[in-house]
Amino acid sequence: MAKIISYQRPGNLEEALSLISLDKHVPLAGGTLLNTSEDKEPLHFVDLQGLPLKGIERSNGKLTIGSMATLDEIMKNSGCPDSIRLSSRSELPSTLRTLATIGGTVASGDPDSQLIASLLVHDAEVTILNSAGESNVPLQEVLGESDSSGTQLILSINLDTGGDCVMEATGRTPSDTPIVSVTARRCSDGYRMAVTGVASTPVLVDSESPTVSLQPSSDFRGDSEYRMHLVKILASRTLDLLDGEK
Amino acid sequence: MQINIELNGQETAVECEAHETLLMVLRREGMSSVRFGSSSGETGASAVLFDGLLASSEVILAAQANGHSVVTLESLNTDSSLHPVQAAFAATGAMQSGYSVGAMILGTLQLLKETPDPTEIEIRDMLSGILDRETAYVKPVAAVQQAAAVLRGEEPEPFRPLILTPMTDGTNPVKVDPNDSPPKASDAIPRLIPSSEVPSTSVVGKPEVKVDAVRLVKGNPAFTADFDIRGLLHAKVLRSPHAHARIVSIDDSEALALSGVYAVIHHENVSRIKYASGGQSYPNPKPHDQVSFDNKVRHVGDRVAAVAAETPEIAEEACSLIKVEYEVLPAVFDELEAGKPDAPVIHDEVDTVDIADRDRNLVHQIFAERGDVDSALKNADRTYEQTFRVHQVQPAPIEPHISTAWLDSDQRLVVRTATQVPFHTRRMLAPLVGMDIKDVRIIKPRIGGGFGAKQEMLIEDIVAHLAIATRKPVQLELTRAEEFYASRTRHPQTLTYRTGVDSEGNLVAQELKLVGNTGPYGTHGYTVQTVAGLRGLSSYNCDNKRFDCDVMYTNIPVPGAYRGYGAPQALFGLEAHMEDIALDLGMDPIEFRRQNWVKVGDEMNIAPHLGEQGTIEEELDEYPKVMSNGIEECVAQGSRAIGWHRRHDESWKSPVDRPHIRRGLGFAFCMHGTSIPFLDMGGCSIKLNDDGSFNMLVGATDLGTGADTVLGQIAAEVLGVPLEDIRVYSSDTDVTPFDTGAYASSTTYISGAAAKKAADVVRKRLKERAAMLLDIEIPCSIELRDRRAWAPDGRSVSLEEIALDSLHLNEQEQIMGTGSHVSPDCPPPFAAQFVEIEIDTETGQIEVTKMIMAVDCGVAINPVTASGQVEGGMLQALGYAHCEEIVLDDKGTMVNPSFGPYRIYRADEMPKTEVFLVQTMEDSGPFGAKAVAEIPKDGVAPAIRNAILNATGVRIDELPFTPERVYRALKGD
Repeated sequence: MAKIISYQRPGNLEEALSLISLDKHVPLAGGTLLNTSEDKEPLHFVDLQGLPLKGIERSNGKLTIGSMATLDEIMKNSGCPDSIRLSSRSELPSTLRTLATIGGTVASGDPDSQLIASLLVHDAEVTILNSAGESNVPLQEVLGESDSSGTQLILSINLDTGGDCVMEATGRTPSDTPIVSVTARRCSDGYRMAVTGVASTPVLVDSESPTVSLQPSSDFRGDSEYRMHLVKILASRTLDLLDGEK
Repeated sequence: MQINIELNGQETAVECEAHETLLMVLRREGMSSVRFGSSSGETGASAVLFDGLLASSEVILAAQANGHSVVTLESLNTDSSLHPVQAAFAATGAMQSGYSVGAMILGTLQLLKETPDPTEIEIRDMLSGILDRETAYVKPVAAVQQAAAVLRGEEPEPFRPLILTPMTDGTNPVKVDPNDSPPKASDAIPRLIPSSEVPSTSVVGKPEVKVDAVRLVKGNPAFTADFDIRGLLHAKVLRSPHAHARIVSIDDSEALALSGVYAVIHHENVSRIKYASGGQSYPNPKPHDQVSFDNKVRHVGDRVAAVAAETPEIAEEACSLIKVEYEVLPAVFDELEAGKPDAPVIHDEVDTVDIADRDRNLVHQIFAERGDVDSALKNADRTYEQTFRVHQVQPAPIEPHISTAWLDSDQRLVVRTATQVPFHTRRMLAPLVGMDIKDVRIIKPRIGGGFGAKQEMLIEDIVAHLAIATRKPVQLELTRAEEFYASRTRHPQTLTYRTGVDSEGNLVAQELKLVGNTGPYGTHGYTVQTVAGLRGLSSYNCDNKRFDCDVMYTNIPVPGAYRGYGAPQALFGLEAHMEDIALDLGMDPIEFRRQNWVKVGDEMNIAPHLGEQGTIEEELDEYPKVMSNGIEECVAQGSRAIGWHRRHDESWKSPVDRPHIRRGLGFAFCMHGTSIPFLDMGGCSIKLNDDGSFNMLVGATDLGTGADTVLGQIAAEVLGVPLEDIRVYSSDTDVTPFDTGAYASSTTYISGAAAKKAADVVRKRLKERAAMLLDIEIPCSIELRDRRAWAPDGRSVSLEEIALDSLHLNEQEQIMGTGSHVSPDCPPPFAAQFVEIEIDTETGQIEVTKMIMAVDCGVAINPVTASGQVEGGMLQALGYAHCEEIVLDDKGTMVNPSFGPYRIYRADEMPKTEVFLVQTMEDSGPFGAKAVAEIPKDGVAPAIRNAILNATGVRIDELPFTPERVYRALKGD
C-alpha cells in the first residue's frame, strides 16, 4: 500500500493544479494503481473526484471523454466506439473497472493497455491543463513524456470515432493481459495500428511494417523474439480482418 | 479525519486516517462480510456496492468514500430470513468456503437491478472481478440465474442432480454411438449415474444445503479475521532479500524504540528448537530442519525477524528499522543442479540430523521395488523412456494465512487460526513455545480455502512467541505477496518413466525415477514424493515396478502440501507416457490403458511399500485389492459428453474459417487414494438435546469442502432425523475429538466413518430408551425415522419425548456417543478426464474449451458439494496445466507475486465444465463413500497435453502450456 501523508479533495481545477504542483503531491484518480502502489515514498494525495471531469460527449464525429470517467462508464456508454468500450471492459475486471478512470489509465502509460492502444488508433488527443493553460496534445506525445504528473492535469481525451477497428491479442488465457496485442483501425486516409507489450508504453506502428524500430524486452511470458513474431502475426490478422470488412 | 458515508442506508460518521482504506473502516464498523484478499483489490473479496456499483474496497481510500454510498452484505440482514439472492446462493451450493460470497451476492444485486434477465456472459462478466479457487464459478452462475428467476416472479426448478441411465453394466466397455448425446442440463447440475448396489437412503446422497450456509450467505462473523479481540497487536515479518545467506548481525534497537512497538523477535531472542512445519501425524517425518528464527536464511522471503505493534503500519515500519548484516552465499534453485559437487550446501548446521547426504543437498532417498524391473525391461518386446518437468505453483487460497494468539485467563495459549490441522498444530506448537500440549488450545473457525497450504504450522509459532513476549493478543495476516513466496507451494519435479511392454500391449515393467525439489526445508518433501511414486505406479497392472527417488534441497520458496499431493505431477507424466506408448503401438489410447488399468479384484501391488512413515522392502503376505471401480461407466459417460469420436474428424479438427486453429481432444485415466491407511484417524461425539436434536462435535476440518455438511448427513441418516436437527461444530482442540485434519482425501471416508460410529452408539441407546417407553422387549426391532422411534406394531415415540424422558424424568442420563475411525483400507476413486482444446498454431495460444470429468467416488454423500469439489479441483488443475507458475529471477526472487501476472482463471474465461458422478458401492466407506476432493487435480494437465498431441502431433512434456512454450514446440525448437 502507498504511504499517504495527507488526502485533499480540491473543488476546482485551479486549486487542483496548485496542489499538485507542490512537492510530493500527486493527483489521485480512481486509485486502482496509486492506492495499491508499493512505492514507499510518502506522498500527499490530491483526489480529483470533486472536479467536473466525468462527462462523455460526442459531436461531429469526435468523442470527448472526461478524464475521470470510469472504465465502467465508458464500457456502458453507447456513444463510445465499440473498440473503446470493448477495450475498457478487457482492461480490468468488474470490481476494479468501476473505479479506474481513463485519465488514470492514460497517465499510467501501461505498456500492456489495450485501452491506450485503442485510443492511439482513434487519433486520441489529450487535453491538458498546466500553468501555461489548456492545450491539446497527441496521446503518443503524452505517453512519451517521462513524468509530468506533478505539473499538469489531464482534463479529457478526445478521439475520432470513425472507421473500422479490430483487435487481436495473444495471452495465456482468454482474459489475460495480452502478451502482445495489436489494434488496427481503417479510416479514410489509411490504417492506424497500435501495439502493446513491446515497449514502455503502447505504441503506434506502421501497419505495413509493424515491427520496424520495435525492440521489446523479454519477460517470463514471452521473450523479445517471440513478441516480435506475435506482432507480425497479429498485425497481419488485423489487416486481414479489416480488409475482409471492406 | 472524519468522513461521512451512507453505510447501508444510514448516514455514518467515521474517524479515519489518510492512509486507511475503505475496507479497514468497514471492518472496524463491524462489516464482517467485507474481506481481505489482496491489497491490489484483484480478488474482489472486499467488494461492496460503492454508489451502487461493485468495487473492491481495499483499493478505495476511506477518504475517497467521503460523501458516497456504501452497501455491504449486512444491508440484507434485517431479520433471520434470507434475501432471494442469498437463498439462491445457499440452494445451489454456490459457495464452498464462502469467503467471497458477500461480494458475489452484492454483484448479483447490482446486475439484476440493471438487467433482470442477464445472459451467462453478463453474469460471468459481473463475477470477473471476484476470484474463486473453489467453485470454478459454475454454481455461482447458476445461483445468479436462479435468483434472477425468483426476482422475476418465476418458480425455479429445485436444484438437484440429473439422474442418468447407466451406459454400461459397470464392468464391460461399450461402444458409444456418435449420434448419442447426454440429456441437456445446466453445467452446474451434477449428472448422477446411480448404481443398483447402493441402498436407498433418506439424507445421504441428497443435495442438502450446507449446514453453514446461512452464516456464510449473511456474511456473519465466521473467519479468523472476523473476531475482534480487545487490545490486539499486529505482527509483521521481516523477510530475507537473499536466497541463501548467513545473518552476521541483527540490530533491533531502532525498531524497539519506535513508538507503538511491543516486541521484536529473531534468532537471538527465540529458543532454537528444531521442528518440521508440515502438518502430519506423530512423529513428523524427518529431518526436523527448521527453527522459528534461524541465523541463516535459505530462500527469498525466509523469516528473519517479527514485530508486534499497535498497527500493521507501525509493525511494518519497525521491520524496516531492523538492521541486518548478511553474508550472502551462493544459491541453487534447480533440483538437478542441487546435487552437483559445486552446489552450495544448504543445511550445513550441525543440529539438523537425518539428512540423507547433506553435502549433496540430498534430503531423502526413497526406493521401492516389486519384482525385477531390470530383468523385465531387458526381456520386454518394447521399452520406452520419457522425462517430464513440472513446475512450482501456489494453492492461492483467497483468505491468506491468518492467526491470532493470546494468553487466556488461565495463562494458557490460545490460537485462533486458519488451519487444516488444528490437532497437529497444537502438538507441534507446544514445544516451540515451551508449553505443555495441555496448555495450548487451537481454535479453527471457518477457513477461506486451504488446498494444502494450510496443512502446515506456518505462522502459528510467530504469533505465539509474540503473544507470550508481549502478554497481549497478536494477529498476523500474510500479504498476498507473502502468500506466494513465503507460504507453501507445489513441488517441482523431474520425472522419468521407463516402461516395458510385451507384444500384446501388456505392461511388463514400469519404473519412475523422480527428482523432487523440496526447496530449503523438508516439510512435506518425503511424503509428497512418496505419494508421487505411489500414484504414479498404481494405475496399471504390472508385476515389476520400481520407484527411485531423490529429494533435493534448493533455495526456492518452500514447497509443501497442495491438493493432489504428488499425484498431479506423477499422473501428468504417467498419462502422457501411456498415451505415447499406445500411439507407438498403434493402439487406441483408451483401449491400451483399459487393457492395463487396475480392475476390481486386482492388487495394488506397490501401495504398501510406499508408506507415509517409510518404505517397506520385504514382500507382504497380502496386498490390498481394488474392491470398487466405476471407470468403465466413467469412460462411457465422458466419451459421450465430450464427443470423443471427433478426435479423428479432420473437418472438426481444422475449421475451414480459421485456418490457424487446430482442435484436439484429450483423455486421462485418473486413480487416486482415499485417506492414509493405518494412519488417518477421525473422532466424533454426538449428544442428544431436549428437543430431539443433536450436537455433533468433530475434529475434522471443513475448509469449505462441505465436510461438516457431509458428516452431518451421515449422522442424520443413522439417527432418522433431517440434517437440520444435527448441529455440527468443528473444531477446537479443547472441545472436539481428535482428527488428523483435512488432507489426503480422508474426511468423508475417515471422519465420516467416525461420525457413523458415534451415531450408531446414540442410535442404539435411543432405541433402548424408546423400547422402555413403548414397553417393547427387543429394542433392535425399533426403527428410527422422521424424528421418531417406531415399533414394529406401528406405535412410535418422538426423539423429543425420549430426550425429555432421559434428561429429566426417568433414570436420567445424557444420551451420547463417541466414535473414532482408522482404516486399513485406502479404496481408490477413479475418474475419466476429457478435455477439448483449440490451438492457435501461429501463436501457440491454447484455449481449453471444454472439461468433462466423470468420477467414481463411491456414493457421493452430497452430490452438490461433491460436484463442487470436482469443479473447483478442475479449475485449479487447469491453472496448473495452462497458466499458473511461480517465476523466480536469477537471484531467487519471485517476479510475479500477485494475481495478475501469476494468473488464475476468472469467471469470464472458464471453459464449459461438466461433472458426472458415477456411483459404486464401496463397502469399506460410510454408506459406500470414497474420496472426491483430490482426484480432479490429476487428469487435466495430461489430458490437455494429449489433446495438443491429438490436434498437432506435437508432444510437450513440460508444464505449463504457455503460448511461447507451445509455439516453440510447434516450431520444433
